[in-house]
Amino acid sequence: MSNVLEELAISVLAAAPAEGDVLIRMKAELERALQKPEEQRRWVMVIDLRKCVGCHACTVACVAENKLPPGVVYRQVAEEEIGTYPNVSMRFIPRPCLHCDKPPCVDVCPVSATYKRPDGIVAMDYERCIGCRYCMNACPYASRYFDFGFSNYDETPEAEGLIVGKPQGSLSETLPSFEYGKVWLRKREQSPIGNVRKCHFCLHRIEVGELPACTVTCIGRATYFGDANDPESLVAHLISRPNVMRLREELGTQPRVYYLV
Amino acid sequence: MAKNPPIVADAPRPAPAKKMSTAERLLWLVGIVAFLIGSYGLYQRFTNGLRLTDLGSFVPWGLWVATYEYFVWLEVGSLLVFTVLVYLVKWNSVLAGMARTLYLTAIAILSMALILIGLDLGHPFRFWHVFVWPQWGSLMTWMIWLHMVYLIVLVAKLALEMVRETPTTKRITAWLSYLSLPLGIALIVVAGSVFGVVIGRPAWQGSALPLYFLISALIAGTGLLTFQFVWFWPGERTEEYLAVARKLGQLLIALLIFGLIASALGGLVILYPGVPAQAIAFELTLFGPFWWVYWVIYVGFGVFVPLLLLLTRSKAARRIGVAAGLLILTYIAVPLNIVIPPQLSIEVVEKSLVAAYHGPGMKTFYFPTISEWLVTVFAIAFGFLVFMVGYHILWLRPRINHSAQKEG
Amino acid sequence: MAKNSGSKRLSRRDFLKLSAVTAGTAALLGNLPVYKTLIARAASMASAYTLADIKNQINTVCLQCNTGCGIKVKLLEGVAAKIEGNPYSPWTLWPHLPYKTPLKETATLGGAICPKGQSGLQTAYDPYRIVSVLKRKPGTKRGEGKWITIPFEQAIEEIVEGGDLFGEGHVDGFRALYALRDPNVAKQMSDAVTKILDEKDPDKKRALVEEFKRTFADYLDTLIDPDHPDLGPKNNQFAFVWGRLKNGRGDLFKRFVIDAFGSVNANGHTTVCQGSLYFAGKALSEQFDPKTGKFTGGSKFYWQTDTANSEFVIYVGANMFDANYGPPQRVPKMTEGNVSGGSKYAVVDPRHSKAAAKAWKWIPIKPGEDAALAMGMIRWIIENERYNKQFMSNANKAAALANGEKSWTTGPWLVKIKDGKPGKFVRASELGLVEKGTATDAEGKEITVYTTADGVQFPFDPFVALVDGQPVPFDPNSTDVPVVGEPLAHVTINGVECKTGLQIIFEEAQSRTIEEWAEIAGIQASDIIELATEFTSHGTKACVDIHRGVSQHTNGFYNVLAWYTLNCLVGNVDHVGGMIKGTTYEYTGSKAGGPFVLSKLYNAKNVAFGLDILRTRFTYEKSTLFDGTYPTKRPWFPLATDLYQEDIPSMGDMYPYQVKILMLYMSAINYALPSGQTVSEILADPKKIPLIIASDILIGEASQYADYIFPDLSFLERWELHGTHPSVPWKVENVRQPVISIPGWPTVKVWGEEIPLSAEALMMAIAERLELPGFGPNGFGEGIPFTRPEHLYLKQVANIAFGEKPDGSDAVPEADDEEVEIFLQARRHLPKSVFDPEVWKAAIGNDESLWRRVIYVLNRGGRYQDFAKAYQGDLVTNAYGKQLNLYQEKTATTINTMTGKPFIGYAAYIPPGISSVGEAIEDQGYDFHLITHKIITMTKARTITNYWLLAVEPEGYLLMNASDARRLGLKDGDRVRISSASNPKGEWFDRDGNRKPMIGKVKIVEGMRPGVVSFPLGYGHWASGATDVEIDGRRIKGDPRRAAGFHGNAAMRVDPHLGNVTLSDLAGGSAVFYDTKVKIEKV
Ligand SMILES: Nc1nc2c(c(=O)[nH]1)N[C@H]1C(S)=C(S)[C@@H](COP(=O)(O)OP(=O)(O)OC[C@H]3O[C@@H](n4cnc5c(=O)[nH]c(N)nc54)[C@H](O)[C@@H]3O)O[C@H]1N2
Ligand SMILES: Nc1nc2c(c(=O)[nH]1)N[C@H]1C(S)=C(S)[C@@H](COP(=O)(O)OP(=O)(O)OC[C@H]3O[C@@H](n4cnc5c(=O)[nH]c(N)nc54)[C@H](O)[C@@H]3O)O[C@H]1N2
Ligand code: SF4
Ligand code: SF4
Ligand code: SF4
Ligand code: SF4
Ligand code: SF4
Ligand SMILES: [Mo]
Repeated sequence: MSNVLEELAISVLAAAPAEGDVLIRMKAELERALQKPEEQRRWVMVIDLRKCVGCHACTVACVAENKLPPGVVYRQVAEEEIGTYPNVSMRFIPRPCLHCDKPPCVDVCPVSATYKRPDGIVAMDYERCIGCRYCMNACPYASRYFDFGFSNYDETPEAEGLIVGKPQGSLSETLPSFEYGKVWLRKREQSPIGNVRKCHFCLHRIEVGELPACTVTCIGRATYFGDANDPESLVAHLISRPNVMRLREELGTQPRVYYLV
Repeated sequence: MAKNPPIVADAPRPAPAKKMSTAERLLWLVGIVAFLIGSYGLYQRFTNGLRLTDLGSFVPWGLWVATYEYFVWLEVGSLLVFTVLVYLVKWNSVLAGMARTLYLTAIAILSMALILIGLDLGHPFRFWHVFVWPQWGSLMTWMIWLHMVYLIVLVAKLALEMVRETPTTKRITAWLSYLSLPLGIALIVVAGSVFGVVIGRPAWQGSALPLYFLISALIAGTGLLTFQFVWFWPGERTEEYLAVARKLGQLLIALLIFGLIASALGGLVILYPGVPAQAIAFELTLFGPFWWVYWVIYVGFGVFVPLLLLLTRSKAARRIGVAAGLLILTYIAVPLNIVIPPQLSIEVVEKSLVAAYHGPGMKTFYFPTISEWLVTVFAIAFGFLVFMVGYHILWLRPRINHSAQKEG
Repeated sequence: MAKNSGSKRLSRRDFLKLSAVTAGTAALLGNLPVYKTLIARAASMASAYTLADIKNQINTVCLQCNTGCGIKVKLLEGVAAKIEGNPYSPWTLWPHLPYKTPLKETATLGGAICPKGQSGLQTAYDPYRIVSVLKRKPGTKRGEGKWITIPFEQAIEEIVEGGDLFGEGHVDGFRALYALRDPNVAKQMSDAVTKILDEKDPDKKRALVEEFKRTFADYLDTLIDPDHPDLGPKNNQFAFVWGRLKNGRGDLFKRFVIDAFGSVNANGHTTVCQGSLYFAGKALSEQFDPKTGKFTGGSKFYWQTDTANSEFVIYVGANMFDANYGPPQRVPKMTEGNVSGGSKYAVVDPRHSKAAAKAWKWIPIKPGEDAALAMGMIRWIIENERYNKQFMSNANKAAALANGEKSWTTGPWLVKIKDGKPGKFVRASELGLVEKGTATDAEGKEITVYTTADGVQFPFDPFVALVDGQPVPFDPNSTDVPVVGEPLAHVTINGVECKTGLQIIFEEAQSRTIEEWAEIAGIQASDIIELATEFTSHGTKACVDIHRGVSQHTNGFYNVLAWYTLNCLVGNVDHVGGMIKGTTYEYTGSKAGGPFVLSKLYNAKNVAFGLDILRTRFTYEKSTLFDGTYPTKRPWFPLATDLYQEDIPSMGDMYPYQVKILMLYMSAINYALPSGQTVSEILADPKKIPLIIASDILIGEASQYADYIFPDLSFLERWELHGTHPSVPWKVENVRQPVISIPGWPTVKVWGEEIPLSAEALMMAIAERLELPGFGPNGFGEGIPFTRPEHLYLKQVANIAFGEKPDGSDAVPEADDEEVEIFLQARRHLPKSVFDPEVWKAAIGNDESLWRRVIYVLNRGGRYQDFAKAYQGDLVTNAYGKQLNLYQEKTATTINTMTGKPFIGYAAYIPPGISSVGEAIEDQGYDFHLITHKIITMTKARTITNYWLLAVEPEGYLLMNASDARRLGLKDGDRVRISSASNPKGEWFDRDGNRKPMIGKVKIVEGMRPGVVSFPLGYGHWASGATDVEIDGRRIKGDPRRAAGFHGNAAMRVDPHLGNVTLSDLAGGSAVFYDTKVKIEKV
């Protein structure tokens, strides 16, 4: 499959004015990375703040992909207005988990329920997590959210036969999520309810050769994902640019999410 | 040393038939009623998870964690002071006789602490994961383990207190007591460090907290010790009794003032370099929506009123007891202020992030809900009943100090 | 019969029992089995992430907004689980995949879509969706919110036969209005009416009317008013009004309304949307017809920028990152251009839009004054001779072709000036350049010809251009005789004063200095010059791309002309990186003459004729209503159609006649329109409109005023051909198709066929009961049934698949066995009533090869031209390639029936915010200028049901500049009430009695022009699940989240003269959103 896509990328690139759609290229690179053993991959995300248009597609794509309940989000897009009239501008800053190489969240977890994978992903083991929420306080980037078990449809009516009603009207939310390649159903007080949740670079998608949901749907093409260990990869090129920065470097958390400014 | 105390055996245990005093009856009543009321909170906790709390993702820790810390201070602090006074300073005093009751109290409070921290977990029934998959890099692991060891030591000590005293038991008790010193200190310091190492919450960060925890534990502990001594002392209110009470009172004064200075200094240290997030937390404490928690409850009833009571020269131990009581009640303000405001500061630090998404628990404001209070009531009532059972049924009461006896 | 039985006479228990036995009943919906088993199965799934399996994916088209991005819906046990972009679609990948890419290669490849697209699931799965026909509870008022469910076929019977349906007296049903049934008579009447209309002499007109009455004496009772036969038959008293309707479905509905029922009243929502943009486009694209000597055939469309290739774009009143058509398709090109430095753009908008944040320049213009800026630029560009002389000189097609262009303008044409005013184009005969004579044509027929001195013959009186100072007659459409005229000239030839079209516009631009124009627009003169300089520094790769902010003003038509004039000045039309138009694959079969020429597939066809309620089909002056007096009771709109704001008020005034049955489709007409409260008031009154039927997916803002609501399928459950948008250079057709079926969705029987309860079912059931032509077992002609919606839709898809070449050389490949298997597998969860391969294949004549091509198209969610094919050198392949009327004879000779004066026929500055009778509106004491905008997370009245979106923006704020806020002492988040001169209380006419105040929170920003406030569309609902309703006596609680925020349209100015309608642009038809002064008060 990877070859086909490579070709495809090429064929498309040929026709394209620019480099061709980065989504195709990154997809091909993803396929390539998957050929290597896990520990040789180094997933990173690069976000070009000059290209982010604050559309929140990534936010909602992530919610939809991971069936995040109300109160849980993995990737907000912060909006900041700069300047005074008429010299105004706006900055949009997508904020996924930064998958720190020195993740304070991991250090504090009493049961290793959150851990750093060889490929760089900071993952969660929902079944092990006791829900102490220490990691939330430890994360300096507010990237972790607790699943209290809320539903958007708690208050909506059933009224069978008169309207579609709650049971089927809430399917968009009650369908299982596939985080970490497992099937998670929303049953009362069962994981991931009662757990802390966070961005996982869409591990379950990557594993089947699909880019993260936020990356695929990035309208501004501001989000790049790939294997930093692959010198040919787009991300490898991008993070070697002079205009990259990382959030609050001074903390020494060494994020694996880079921003281009 | 003044004249020896009159030598008495254990306060005689009344015949089982004997009706309990109205006071006792009242206490049982209060305990049971509180337990029942609190149970509803427990019920809610298990039917609604943490949904009925005011906790959220920006303020993940609230009343329960704060109360937990406080109970740790009390349970460890009181015994620390006690052990120091009795085993190190070797007060030739009647204080030693308090041992049993103090241990009982400590266990009672410890049970409250564990209930609260347990129910604070998203998955309470997974607490055992900490023992099966401990992650030694986490101070929380250490805290929980230390707490367990401490629990064991306590139980052991109490057990020994309950069996007929022999030189062996005395020796073991002594050793356990010595052991409990570093253990207790470690537990407190670690508990403080659990917050101290968190870079996510600048106002917690740094070396200040562990120390501050220790001081606070001593203050609260001394308060509890004093309170118990003054009110539970079974013997006659002799000179020596008064002397000890006063000594405890003075100790309390010293610690209180020290604590006040410490917190003031702490505040200055925080405000002076003006690390914004820290400053915010501190400002929130002093002038935020809950300014009164700090000023009225802590500074007012927690420090000044007790000081007044203690400083007015008076022979009556009662005042000291009242002061100590007040202190125990109000000092909860301290952990509350340590735990909550620093989390609220995210409002300012991550303003745009907070504004970027909306949902339950995504707010930067926290005030415990009824449900949280109920669960807290449950925990306290539970501990209280443990105490009642121990005190009235198992008759774990103070006894007259033997060392004094030998000397005679 | 309908299976969603459940009439009010049954108790709930009986109801459930009864519905439990009949399969596929509405009641099943509520029961959990489907849901439970699904969850159970999901739980037992071995390999978790089954969504990556191509057999669990269907490509279709999003309708969360009108951009129509291709989407790929991933299914889990037949439930839509996740939506991504369809990688074949140019909307979501840039460049999009080659069309030939094997389907299976795309299993794990998706494209980019916006947040609304992502949340589409929540539109389909919404607890508040209705599942049975709702009837207004007899004895309750419209809008009171009390309903009863009735069986489908009973509902059809009631609306067709009429009667005392609500205990309020007799109500006419469809049968009563289906008066004129004989197509032949209709045809004759229609012709007779045309004769009457064409007769100019009043007396002769009257005589013709009398003659008409005599000729059709037996049929007079079928007419609305025999004394005014041009009002047409009673059939016209049925009006079909839609909000969002796309082709496919649109063809079925119009076939029903016009060709079958014979009503002329099938009206869309264009003017609420970007009306004057469309109708200025129509005026600009009218072509000269030598036979009639008239300008006709203008198409209702507009141009946009070839976003990817323009080097500099001025976006005016176009909300590029949040709205428009649309972010997934346009944004990547803009961000790429910005970062690579390949292109830059400016934003002209009183509000600092997200796009402005990334713009080279933001011009916070005064609302409504866009033409002033444009005029200033026109003046500067012409005075500094920085315009594209060549393009502006090409007077006809031949000249264009000769100079490497595909389009040309009327700029160099000479216009006759009568007492200082420009009127018609001067004709050669008027200048004595040609002699009128006769000749015999090929068939030896006698024809008039116009011959020049040197013997050149024209079949019509030719137009004139100045070539080297000499007037030269020419044929606009000539391909062999190029005429390159002087673009600027003011001459008098043989005593006839003439100016070129461009000259006239130039003089208008010169009527004020650059400084004065800047003053009017509330900007700096330097802004004008900077923009003009940059705009003229990129050859044909510079564009002005405009949208609602420009068109939705009383002067919208002229704002649009002004900006489009600028585009012509650089000659960017049809150029790579220039202004382009949308192009779709022909689906009616006419081009290729098959496989299915839909215009011919009729057993019989009714002939709709007469005046429409919007008064657009012919002019007032031609009609028998003309009595020489102005203004008319309500304006006529000879230059526009689909005037959404006029529908209901016209019905309220019963002008030109009463509408007795109104059918609303996918419309929130009262929510969408400016001053929509006036619309609600009329809808609520059965005396004005006796019967209102709505097709909706829930009880919506408008449908809550209906007497009957028929449940519809959501966009994930239905067919539609979404078409394209002007900024898409590729030829495409987006095919929306059923992806899911709500488990247990009710089905109904039409002509014995079981089809899902839907808008189609509603129309087809009426057609069946009235035995209307064009439907039924022989609907498509003898032996060709039209008894299921797919019968039409698949023929259309087949046409798309076959392509536009008669020899089939333009056809798509046949799907191979593997793709056929994927096609069937991916639809395995759909019930037979929705997907039955046999039925589908039969619908296209069981032609195996064609069937495989259809599958090829359906598998890809449509048909998309390959990336490279869109460009040919410097020009676009799918070009406009016609005449552009910079100066418009037709417009200039059309009368504004409110003033009695002709419209201006060229780009001119006209002050904004004037009433229908042309008076300026002074609203003393209302000191803020109210505008509105869209945000990326909200569409219309529709997305309030999407909780995932509400999490991002739960209520929407009134944006106000910090300086204004300081003046009013407002803090961020303060609640304010918005009121205006025409709504001093600042409230909505909610359901009966209730009033919903327009109170919202302010958001204080720097990015707003001081004195202007703006609010986002989509909040402040009072229906769509926002408030409690009662069905069969059962209370259904509303969800407060859907009522959150506010909707400011009711503050928008009511026309002071007409009193029950918003301000309008009488030329371009726009409903006016941005010309209201309001008061902001803290509450
Ligand atoms: N303040 C403000 N107002 C505006 C605008 C603005 O920018 N600001 N924009 C204007 C524009 S551009 C437009 S196009 C109009 C649009 O206004 P409308 O054309 O009226 O369309 P919608 O608002 O989408 O209303 C569609 C309604 O149809 C129903 N519906 C939803 N889905 C379906 C379906 O699948 N089938 C059926 N049968 N019914 C359905 C629902 O009741 C929904 O409210 O709004 C205009 N209004
Ligand atoms: N998110 C989202 N996207 C949509 C839709 C939707 O409902 N939601 N609807 C689709 C539809 S139907 C349409 S018609 C398009 C509309 O696409 P656009 O017209 O591009 O979107 P609007 O927000 O309606 O544009 C109005 C813009 O004009 C500005 N404006 C207001 N008054 C003036 C003025 O006097 N002068 C100038 N220069 N600017 C002014 C407003 O601030 C706003 O930025 O969007 C389509 N896309
Ligand atoms: S961003 Fe926060 S959650 Fe993510 S790895 Fe770093 S510390 Fe952990
Ligand atoms: S909440 Fe879960 S992951 Fe976080 S620290 Fe506690 S146990 Fe670890
Ligand atoms: S990578 Fe996946 S989980 Fe992380 S933010 Fe993007 S979509 Fe969400
Ligand atoms: S999808 Fe891309 S452009 Fe849109 S907000 Fe997210 S990162 Fe920014
Ligand atoms: S822009 Fe968004 S909502 Fe509109 S069609 Fe595309 S994906 Fe759907
Ligand atoms: Mo629109």
